[in-house]
Amino acid sequence: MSARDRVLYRVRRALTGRPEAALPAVIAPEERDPEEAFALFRTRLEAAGARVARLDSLEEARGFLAEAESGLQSAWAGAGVPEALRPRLPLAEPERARLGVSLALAGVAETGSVVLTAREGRRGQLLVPRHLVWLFAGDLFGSLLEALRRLRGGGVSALALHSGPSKSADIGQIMVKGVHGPGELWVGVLTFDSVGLEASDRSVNLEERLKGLTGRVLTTKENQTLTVVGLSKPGNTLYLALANGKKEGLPVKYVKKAVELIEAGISPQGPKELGEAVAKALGLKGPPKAGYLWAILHALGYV
Amino acid sequence: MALRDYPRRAAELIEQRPEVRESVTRAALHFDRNRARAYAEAPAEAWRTYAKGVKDHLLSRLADYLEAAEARLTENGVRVHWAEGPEDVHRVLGEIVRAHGVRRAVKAKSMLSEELGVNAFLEAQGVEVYETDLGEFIIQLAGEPPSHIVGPAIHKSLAEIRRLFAERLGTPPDASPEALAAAARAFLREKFLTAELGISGANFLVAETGTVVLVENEGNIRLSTSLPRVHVALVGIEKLLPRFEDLAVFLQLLARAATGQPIGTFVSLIDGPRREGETDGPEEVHVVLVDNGRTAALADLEASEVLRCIRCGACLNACPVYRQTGGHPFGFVYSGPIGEVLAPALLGPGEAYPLYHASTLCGACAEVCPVKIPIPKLLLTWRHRAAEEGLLLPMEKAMVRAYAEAVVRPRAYRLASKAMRAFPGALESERLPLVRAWTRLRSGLRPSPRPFHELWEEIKDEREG
Repeated sequence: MSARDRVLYRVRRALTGRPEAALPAVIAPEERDPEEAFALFRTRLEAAGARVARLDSLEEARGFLAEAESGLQSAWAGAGVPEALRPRLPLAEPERARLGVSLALAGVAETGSVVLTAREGRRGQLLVPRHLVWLFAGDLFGSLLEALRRLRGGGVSALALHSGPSKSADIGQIMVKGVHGPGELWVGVLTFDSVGLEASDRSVNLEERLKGLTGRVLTTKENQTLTVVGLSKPGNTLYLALANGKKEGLPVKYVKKAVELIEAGISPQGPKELGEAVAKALGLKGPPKAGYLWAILHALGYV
Repeated sequence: MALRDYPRRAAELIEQRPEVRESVTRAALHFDRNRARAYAEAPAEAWRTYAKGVKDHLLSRLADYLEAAEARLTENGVRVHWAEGPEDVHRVLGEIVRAHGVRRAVKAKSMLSEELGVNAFLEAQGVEVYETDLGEFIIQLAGEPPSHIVGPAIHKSLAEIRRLFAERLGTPPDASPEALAAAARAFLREKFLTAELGISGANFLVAETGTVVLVENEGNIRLSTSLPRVHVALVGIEKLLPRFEDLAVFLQLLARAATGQPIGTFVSLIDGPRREGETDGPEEVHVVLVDNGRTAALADLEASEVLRCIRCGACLNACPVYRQTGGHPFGFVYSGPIGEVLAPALLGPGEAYPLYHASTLCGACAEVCPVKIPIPKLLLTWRHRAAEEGLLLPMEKAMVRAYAEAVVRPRAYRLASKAMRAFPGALESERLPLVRAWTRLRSGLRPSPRPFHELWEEIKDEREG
C-alpha cells in the first residue's frame, strides 16, 4: 500500500458510521453601490498605508504616474498595462527597477485589495520598492465573494491580492514597511471613459483565458465530462473532446456574446436560458450548444 | 524536549527571564485588542458559525475532498505526494533536491514544516535553508523554535534583536527597526534570487479548484513561491476547503482573528506551475498532503474538533497562561490553548501530559476562536481521560483522594477547615513541600476567616428573609 492509500484508508476508517455534516450555504455579502464601494476601497487601502487616487481623465492619470516616477531612474511595467499608462522612465528588469506598474484584474472594496495576475510577471509586482497599480473603476467589486466568483478559473498559474505595502511588526512590535515586497503601494482608479484603453486589452483577455482552459476537464450541468482541446489558430473556435471520443467545436463568438450579456446584467439560471439569450442576441435559430457553453462560462467564473 | 517538563521550564523562564514575559504579554495583548476591534466591525458571529459549519462538513467527507483536490491539482499540472509522517516528507524533499541539484532553499513560514523537521533534514542533505519571514529569520539566527503561531519572535525585545543582528549581520548596535529590517531584506533578497527551491505551507487548499492559498504581510511567501524553479507546498490534510467561494469568509476571518486586519496584505492563489505566455513563476509545483497524526485525531469524535483550526493564534493572545511565558516552555510546535488540545490529539494523552493542565479554564480561548473549537471542554476531556489512564502524579492523586474523602464527610471537612483556620500560617509555611512549590511563583494561600458554608447560611437567610 502506498502512503496515499494508507492515509485515505485511515481517513475512511475514522469516518465510518459518522454522518455527513451539512455544508452551509455561502453567506451573501453586503451590497454596495459603486460610490460606497469606492469609498470603502479607499478607506481600507489608506488605513493599510497605501495611496489611492480617483482619476477622472487621462491627464489626471498621467499626472499620478508622473508623481510616482519623480526622483526615480527606472521602471518596469506589466504586459497588460495600456500604452498610454506605461511609465516614461527607462525600462529595467524588476530586480533593478525602482517603480513597477501593473494593471489589476479587479479590485475588492470589502478588503481594500487589488487582484494581480501572474501573466503580468510576478517579480515586477514584488521586487520593486514602489508599486503603482491601475484599476478600471468598472472592475471594482463591492465584496470579496463577487470578485472571487468572477476571477475563478482565470487560466493563469497564480493570482495575488495586494492590500497595502509590505509590512512587519516582528521586530519588537514596531511596524516597518517594505520588508520584502514593495514598501509603497499606489492605486490609481480610472473612472474616465476608457474604451480606447480597454478594448484591446479586454478581448485579449477573454481569448487568453480561453487558451488557459486548454487541457482542463470540465463537467456540464448534466454531468457530461469534456476536455478542452484548445483554441483554433485564428482563435474563432474552441475545440472540445467529449467522453465518447467525439470532438466538438464551440464558436468563440457564442462565448463572447454570453460574457457580454452577463456583464450587461442578465443572470441565466441554467444552460437552456443562457443558450436562448445568446441565440436571440446573435439571431440564431436554436440554442447554440448550450450545455458546453455553460460549462465553459462556469470554468471562467461567469455562471 | 519532553512535554512533561513544561512546569519546570515555565517556572524557570518566569524566574530567570522576566523580560520574556513582558514582551510576550505586550505583543499578545496588542494582537488581542486588534482582534476584538476587528471582530466588532464585521459580522464575526455569522462568519464563525459558517466557518465552523464548512470545516465540520469538510472533515465529515474528508476522503472525498482529498481525492477531489488531488484530481484538480493534477489537472492543474501540480505533482501531488502523500505523507503519513516526517519520513515520507523527507523522502519527497530528498528526491526533489537530487533531481534539481538544489543547494539553497528559501522557506515561507510553515508550522507544519516545524512538525516535520524540514530544516534539519534539508541541512543534513547539504542544502542551505533560509527562513524568510522576518520573525522566523530572527529565531533562525538565534537558533530557537517559534514562540507563537503568527508572531514567532514575539518573545524577543528590540534590544535582543539589535544584539543578534549586530553579531550576525554586522548592523550598528543602535540600529533602528527600519535599519534592521533593511539588513534582513538585503541579506534575504540575494537568497530569493539564487535559491532553486521554495518551500511553503498552505493556509487553505481549495478542493474544487486545486488552489493553494497563502496569507502573509511581508511578501516573502509570494517571493518564495514565485522566484525559485521549484515550489513545494506542505499541506496538512485538514487544510482543505470545499469551495473556492468559501475563501471569501475564511480569508477575512483568518486575518481578523490573527492580527485584526481586514485581510492579509498579500494573498497568493496558486493554481499550478508557470503557464505558457508567463514570464516567471516556478516550473514545477509540488503539493505534499500530510497526515502526521491528523487521521488519529479524526478517528476520535471529540478530539477531532481541533482539526477545524486555521492557525490564527487568537487563542494564544487571549490566554492568561500563555501570556506569562510565550510558547517555548510548552516544548511542542503548537503552544497555548490550541497546543494544549492539539498535542494530545496528535501525540496521545500520555505523550502530551501535562500540557492540558496549563489552563485556568477561563474560556477566553473559546470566545475568540474563529472556528469555535471548544478548547476548555476539550481540556477537561483530556484531563478526564488522563485520570482514567492513571496519568496523574502520585501527589496529585493523593490530594484529590483526600479531598474527596473529606467533602463527603461533613464533620471531617469542618474539622479540617477549622484546623486550617486555627493555624493560618500553615499554608504559608515554606517547610511544607506543597506550600513551597505553590508559593515559589505565587502569593501564599490564606484561608478565609470564615468558611463558605457558614457564610452561605447567612446569605441564604438574608435572601430568604
